[in-house]
Amino acid sequence: MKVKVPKKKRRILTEEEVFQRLIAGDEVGLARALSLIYDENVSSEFLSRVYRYNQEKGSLSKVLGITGAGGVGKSTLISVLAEKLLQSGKRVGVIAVDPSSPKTGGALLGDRIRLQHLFPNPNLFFRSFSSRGMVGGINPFIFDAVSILEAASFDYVIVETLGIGQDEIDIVHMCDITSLVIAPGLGDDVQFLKSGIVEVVDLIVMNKADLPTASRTIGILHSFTRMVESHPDILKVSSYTRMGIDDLIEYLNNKWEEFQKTGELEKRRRFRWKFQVGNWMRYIMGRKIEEFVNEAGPVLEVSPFEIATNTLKEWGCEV
Amino acid sequence: MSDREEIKKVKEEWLATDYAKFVAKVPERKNPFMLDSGIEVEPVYTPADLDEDWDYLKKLNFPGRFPFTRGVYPTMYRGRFWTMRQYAGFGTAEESNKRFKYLLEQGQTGLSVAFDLPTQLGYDSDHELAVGEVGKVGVAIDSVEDMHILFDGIPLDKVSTSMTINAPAAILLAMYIVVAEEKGIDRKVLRGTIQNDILKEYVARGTYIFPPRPSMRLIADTIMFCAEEVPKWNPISISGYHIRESGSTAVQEIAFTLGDAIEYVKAVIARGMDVDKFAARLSFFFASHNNFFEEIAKFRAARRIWATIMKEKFGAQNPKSMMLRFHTQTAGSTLTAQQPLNNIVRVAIQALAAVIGGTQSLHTNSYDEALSLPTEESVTVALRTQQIIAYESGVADVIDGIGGSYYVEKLTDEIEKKVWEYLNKIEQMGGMIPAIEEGYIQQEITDAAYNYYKAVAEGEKVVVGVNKFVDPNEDLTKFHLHRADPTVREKQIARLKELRAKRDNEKVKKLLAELKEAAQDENTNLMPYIIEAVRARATLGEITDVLREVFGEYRPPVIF
Amino acid sequence: MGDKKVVRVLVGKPGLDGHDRAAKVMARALRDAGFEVIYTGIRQTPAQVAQTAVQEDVDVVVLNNLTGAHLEVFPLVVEELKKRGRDDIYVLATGVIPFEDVGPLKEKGIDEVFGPGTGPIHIINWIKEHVMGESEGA
Repeated sequence: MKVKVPKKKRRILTEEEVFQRLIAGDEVGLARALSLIYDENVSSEFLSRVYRYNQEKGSLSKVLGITGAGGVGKSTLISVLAEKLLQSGKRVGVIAVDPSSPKTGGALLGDRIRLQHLFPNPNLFFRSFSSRGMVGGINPFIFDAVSILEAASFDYVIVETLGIGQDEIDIVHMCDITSLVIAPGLGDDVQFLKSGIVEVVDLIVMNKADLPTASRTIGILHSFTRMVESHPDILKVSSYTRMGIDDLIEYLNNKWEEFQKTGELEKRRRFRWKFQVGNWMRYIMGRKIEEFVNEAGPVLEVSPFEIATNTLKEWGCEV
Repeated sequence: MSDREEIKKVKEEWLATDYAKFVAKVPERKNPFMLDSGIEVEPVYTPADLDEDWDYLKKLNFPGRFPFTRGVYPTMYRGRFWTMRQYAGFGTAEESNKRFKYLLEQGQTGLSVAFDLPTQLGYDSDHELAVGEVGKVGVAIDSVEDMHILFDGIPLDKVSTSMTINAPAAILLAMYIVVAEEKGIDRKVLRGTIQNDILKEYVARGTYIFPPRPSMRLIADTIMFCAEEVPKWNPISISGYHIRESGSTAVQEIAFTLGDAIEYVKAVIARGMDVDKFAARLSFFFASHNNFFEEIAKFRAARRIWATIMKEKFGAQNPKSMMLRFHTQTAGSTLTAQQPLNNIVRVAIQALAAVIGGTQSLHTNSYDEALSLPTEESVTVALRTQQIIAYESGVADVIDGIGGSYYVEKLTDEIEKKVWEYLNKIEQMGGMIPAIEEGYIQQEITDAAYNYYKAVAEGEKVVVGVNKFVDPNEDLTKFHLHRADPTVREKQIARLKELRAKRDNEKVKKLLAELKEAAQDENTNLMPYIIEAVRARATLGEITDVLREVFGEYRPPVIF
Repeated sequence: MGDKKVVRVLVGKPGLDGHDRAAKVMARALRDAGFEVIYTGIRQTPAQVAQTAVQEDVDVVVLNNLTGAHLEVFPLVVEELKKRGRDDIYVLATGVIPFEDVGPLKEKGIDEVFGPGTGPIHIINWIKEHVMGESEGA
């Protein structure tokens, strides 16, 4: 007995519908809005509506960035933070970014496994992103994703990324407060000192602080942060024992409110907007440039510099 | 006697001339030939291929003597064949009981119990997560009352019972003891096994409850309790079967199993028990896979390595503590849905390897295993496979008949070397538990699994009937599934209601509170407390929930 | 703005079955085929799988079960998706599923069943045929 299965088509929602559902806090609308960012047919008006809405509504989400090398326990830390925040009645949205395969374009996104046990829960939202579409290390999509989550009025928006390389310093501009998570004994406790990101984060969170090797890493950390102009604070936590988690939440809340009072928050958000304009310009131009470079035949007897400046002139960019 | 150097020279010469000539005309099917374990297979092996210091008495010795490479007993199958123990599972305790009685009538002296997933995970049948699972992959046991039904009319003093249960094994063992005692049987005569191997659950089988450290404490509790109170019981069956089935190589199967075993021994010694007091009752469980020689070499290497570990690392004095006794199951994952009759041949080869490899007991899979729980006909063929090997093939009439084969001895040595590499690495990481918590073991396994999948997908590894010699007209719709009784859940829920109404609920509460307090002290053996709670008719779920409160639940690392 | 559409797939293991080799191999193979794959891990309730599918706005949910619970548990996932307004997401069933269960599963909303004898390549081809080539507006 053959059962005829009607061919499914992805239900079409207009941009208007998506927007209305998004601001109403509807999960489907929010999820669709996040997909729209990648849709080549979406209008630029859609995102502008979101930004306008966020400005008008006044209330802000606390946007927290969590970055760090693989294996330090970012996902576990976020799951513990989320659990506590949910318990105190807050609404939490999480964005996790994982690298995609440069060869196939596919990606394995497993960060949410860590807090699957907190679902189903109407107050928790988790979205996994690949680094798909990144051109030259720029990922403007995630910035806009943060704004979309803010439009859905989450109390906290947490962004989790892998903290390696120059590109990841972006997270600092994306969030209100950014924490670098480290863990002892990974054999590369000195690595993070070289990455440059230590100098731009607000806070260093030492995870797995219950391990015996932790004190040595803390020692190195203290001596380093004394040398860094920004003097990031250091907090010790253990996702496993829950030690220090309440303190971390209190610290983040206090810091955020302090920034709000002193005007630092406004300063950062203004910079974020400007940085994102630059991101989009770099991204759009980057793609155009990539296309050009892929198609152009090499003219080996002419200097690349000459070709570059001439082409840009053709495109109407005076250099 | 040709000397080593001479043989080596001739081999090189032979490879360069006769062999090379043939290869030029007919290239070899593969280049190189590799075992999944990463060992290259040469065209032919000679005495000169063994290590220079290879010594018969050191490497092999005699059956029943350290390092037990050739077998753990002096007479092996010349005295008694391996135990032919087929694993089986049915939905309700009543149905299982019927099957047990039937098997006993047929002359089987060993029972093997499969439990359903809610039971394996410490959930009562009325739990939300038990929907669709009650009585499916085994029998549903919610309380000692169900255990009574399961073993009704069965002389527990005369049979040996193997229970495939891990995370809540202590509770099921307690139930078994209480049932025996309520039938007037002294716990000291009880014989059987509980699998009770939590470390492999984290990496291969997925039926864990608590995190590693409290789980190890519970396991140590059961091992120590049995050493004193239930001396004929095997309190653990340290398993490599599931690790292999989840995709590992033969080397990883042995390395990770022995790594787990080392942790268990360490845990009990740390509680103050002398190694010779409990080590003789440790038993093992391996898979038998396709590559005939690799599997045989694997079993031999495992025995030699374990003996060495027990003697040198743990200082065991009693030879019994150094013997690796194991049960084998033929590798289910190698069986195909396509052309199922081919599986009879696969199982036969795998069983033969296990027997030549010296297993103490063996389960052979049924040919329709890939499709469903086996029918009576296919189960019989599987049993006959063992009986034909035993009675007709002659391999059981000599001990380690393949010993001395240059290839097998070389392979045994190579596998041993690679296993030691893993064991040393794991030791550097601080032991199996850190290795598991960091996801190292899981990553090794999942990489091996993916490599295997790719090799088959690309046709580099041939699976007859699947990617070669395929029957395009094969009708795969003909198989059926053993239907579990869908009413089992309701029956169990009704039983639970009745139980809770009849028992002394105050007493249960009190005993559970005592268990909770005892659980908080790492050095208190929980078995007596669990036995009392079981006796008062506390349910499996209620007892597990108490432990869940104290120990927490395990959250695995994210490894692909 | 944006890119060529990339297919997002959720690989889910509802129920108590802890054997995750097949699900993990599937997830990796799907990734190698160019899809974005979200894996839920084992021991998921139908509601957890469904809410994940909604939040991740996946195109396909691939369910896997090897212990015979598929007939009861998979349709519950379909129901949960419907409750959340996303019955337009494809749901595929994989695992030890006998042929006689295919009809009942499809009647309950499963779009296709891949039982013993099938592998990741079949799911990949199905997705390429049914999901890709559907270009959408919002």
